[in-house]
Amino acid sequence: METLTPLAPIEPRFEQPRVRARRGRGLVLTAALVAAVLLLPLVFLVTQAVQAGWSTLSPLLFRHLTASLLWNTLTLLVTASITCAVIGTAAAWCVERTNLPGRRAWAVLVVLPVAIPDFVISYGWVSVAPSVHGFHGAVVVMTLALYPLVYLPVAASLRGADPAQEEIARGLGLGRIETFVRVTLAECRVAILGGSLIVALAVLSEYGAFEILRYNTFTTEIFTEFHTGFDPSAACALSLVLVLISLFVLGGETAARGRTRTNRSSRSAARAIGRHQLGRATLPVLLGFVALGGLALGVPIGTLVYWLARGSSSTLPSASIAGAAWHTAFYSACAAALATALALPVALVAIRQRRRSTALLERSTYIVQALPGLVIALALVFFASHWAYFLYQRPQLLVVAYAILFFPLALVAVKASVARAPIGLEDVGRSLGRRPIEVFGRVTLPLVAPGLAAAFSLVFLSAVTELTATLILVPTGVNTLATQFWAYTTNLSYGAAAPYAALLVAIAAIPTYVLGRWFERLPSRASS
Amino acid sequence: MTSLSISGVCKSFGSLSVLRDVDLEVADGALTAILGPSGSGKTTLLRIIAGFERVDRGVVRIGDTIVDDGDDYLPPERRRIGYVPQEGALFPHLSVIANVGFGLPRRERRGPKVKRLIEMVGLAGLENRYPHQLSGGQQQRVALARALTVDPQLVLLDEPFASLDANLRTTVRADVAQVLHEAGTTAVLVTHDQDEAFSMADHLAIIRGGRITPAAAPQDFYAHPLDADMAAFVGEANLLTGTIDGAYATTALGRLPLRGAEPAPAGGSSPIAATVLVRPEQIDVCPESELPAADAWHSEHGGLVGRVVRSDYHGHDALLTIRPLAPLDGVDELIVARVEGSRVFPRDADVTVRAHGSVIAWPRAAG
Repeated sequence: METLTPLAPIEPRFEQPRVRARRGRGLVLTAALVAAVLLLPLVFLVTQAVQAGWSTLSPLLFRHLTASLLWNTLTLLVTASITCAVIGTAAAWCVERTNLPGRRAWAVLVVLPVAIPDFVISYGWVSVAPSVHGFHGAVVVMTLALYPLVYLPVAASLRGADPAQEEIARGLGLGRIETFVRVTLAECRVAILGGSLIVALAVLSEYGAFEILRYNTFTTEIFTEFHTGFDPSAACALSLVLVLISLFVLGGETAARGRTRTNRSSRSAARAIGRHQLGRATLPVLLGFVALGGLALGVPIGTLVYWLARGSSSTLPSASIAGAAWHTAFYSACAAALATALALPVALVAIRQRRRSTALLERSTYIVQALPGLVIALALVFFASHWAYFLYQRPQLLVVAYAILFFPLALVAVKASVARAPIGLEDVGRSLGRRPIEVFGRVTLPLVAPGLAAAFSLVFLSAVTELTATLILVPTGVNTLATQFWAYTTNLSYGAAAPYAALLVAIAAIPTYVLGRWFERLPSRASS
Repeated sequence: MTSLSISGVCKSFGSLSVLRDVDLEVADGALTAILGPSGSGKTTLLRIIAGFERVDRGVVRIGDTIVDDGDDYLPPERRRIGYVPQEGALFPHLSVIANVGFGLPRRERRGPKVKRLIEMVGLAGLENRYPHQLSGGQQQRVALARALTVDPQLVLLDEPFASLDANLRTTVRADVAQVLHEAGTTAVLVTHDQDEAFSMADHLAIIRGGRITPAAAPQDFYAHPLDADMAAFVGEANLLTGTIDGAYATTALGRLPLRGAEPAPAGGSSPIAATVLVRPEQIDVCPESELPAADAWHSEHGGLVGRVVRSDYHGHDALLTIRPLAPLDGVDELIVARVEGSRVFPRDADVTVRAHGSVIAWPRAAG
């Protein structure tokens, strides 16, 4: 036997047990209720399918139309995901890792297209170049509208990655290109994959842009079946297929996210990154960015400005635009408040009562991401017309649809801020003689408030620019900016539509700006 | 009079039993440390005292009040306990003065009491800073001042110095001990750091695997540990195989008197196999090269010849690990000795070691 004291095993820091069975049972119940409400559209869809019966559905499913829609949807989905992945990744790398002139300005400009509704972008293209339509038109428009969804996570991943890894690779004798492929790309492949799958989900749920571009996908066909023929069974059958594809994509996205591994020696202070010198490539790269900005921002905004300038030729119904703006803002604000309120209990449970059951509860709410707005709207119409006729054609139904549709956005923002208000702070507050309700008001709420504001803005921004569900659920005789824009565009009255689109973009830009400021402040506060 | 009395407390999370039958008495005005390794249940015990967790069984009394007996329970905000958690846990959105004043009624939040406490912890002039503008040590002082505003019957410190770097830790520790002493506050400190517990505590209790020892002076734990594990936990220890006969223990280092044992009549009983504790500072080391005539010296003074295999230099002292050249009974035991830092022992130097003073021994189970 050796008498030397054996080396003490390095033990992990003692985690406080997170199980608090006695506390927060009410909270878990509330969160479960929220999850149930969110999954209602899916339940309605299935109920409707069961009511229709297999004998009705199978001929609707297995026909030539379904196959051609499937082909149209999937080819577009794959192509747009790939082009977005390439453009988004290249742009993110240039902005984050090279000495590109005007990096800070590009970092903002490159993201801006995400604030412009897809149907406004396609409106811009169609009115400029009527030849842009069909598959190629859809690929161009979807790529320009959605590549920021890849850019954002990849840029974040590049910023978070330890630049020392590239230096080590170079030190181990790898060349520039080999380093880029084996280290840099490998580092952000999860971000690229995740972003591309989000693009795929967005393509699956898009309606307005495809309608303008005269490209048939599941959404346009479902909308037509619902609107013209009002054949609920056909709409239901196609919706089922659409939801299945979306669930499949969402599953891929979840799996990709689960593989995120970051290993950064976080204690070392963040160093300035040694940027790659573009050298002779500077001009071509710069031209590339100018072209991207011109196509993604210049075309839609230029068109709007053009039509606005020619405003005299079109009728400008000033009274109706004010009313439409009011309805848009009011419905969106209600939905933003509702979605944020629904997200809070789920976020609290997910962060503070981490258990297998609560994790499952939280994850179930993410399924909503796989439900296109069109499907949610149709499910709510089905619900109202069968069991709650008093809600049919009422604004409440539209607000609920928005809240369900954009709940995942609200949850992400609220969760981030709840994580910054650890329960230990509440414990301290109570030990200082303050009652739980007071501690919530003075500690938890101020810490969570920025996240609640961000959640509100995110949902508001998305609801303002929402078209599909709005077209279906907006009460008769009421117009929002989006529906009025749509009415003019489908009549090819581009000039009359322009003011509505301009106002839409303006209203959407404010929350985008607020959000940008909030995200900028995040890292500095996290470091405290 | 006791400020805190805990008896028979049990707590489990699901199937995981964290505290088993814990008893603890904390004397008024003293600082009691609860020392235990990670996962021993010490933080849970502290959270039970504070009221953030409830006992499954047992009674917790603060002063004369029963605050938790498994049925009735006093919520944390009514216990008047100052809680200083790990890493301070300052409210990030509040300035120093607002943090300290948090527990006071609105009128007093910027009043003289808050100012006095901020001065007492040596942060005058930093009232309007925010937590992220303070160093780790300053944050701990704010947390302490905040805990003292409610005139606590008891201050609980949950590994408050773990996040500080080594140099800062010593000074912040001393400062905190002084502030607590001046305020005359009873305090309970939870830590896994033996050094911290020894240097700060008036009384010490050791918690392992959810069980706790009675509180005693730190010196008692060092000189009279209850078992070999505890001996090693509270400090560097040579745990040597040996035998006990009467009032003496015999090891490779020779025959040494047992601490506190009555001298027994010689040859009374046959020797019993035992584990013998010899602290490194009980061992004298002498380089072979300095001995006048080595053989003659050994026959006169005894001692064990060994070779230095490792030397950990700490400035004020050094720990030498020595391998005996002729293992006793084929048992190859390394011996750790503490020597003055000024004495240099190169690796592979041959040395003679001898032990002085009395030792502790525990009979070894057969086999």
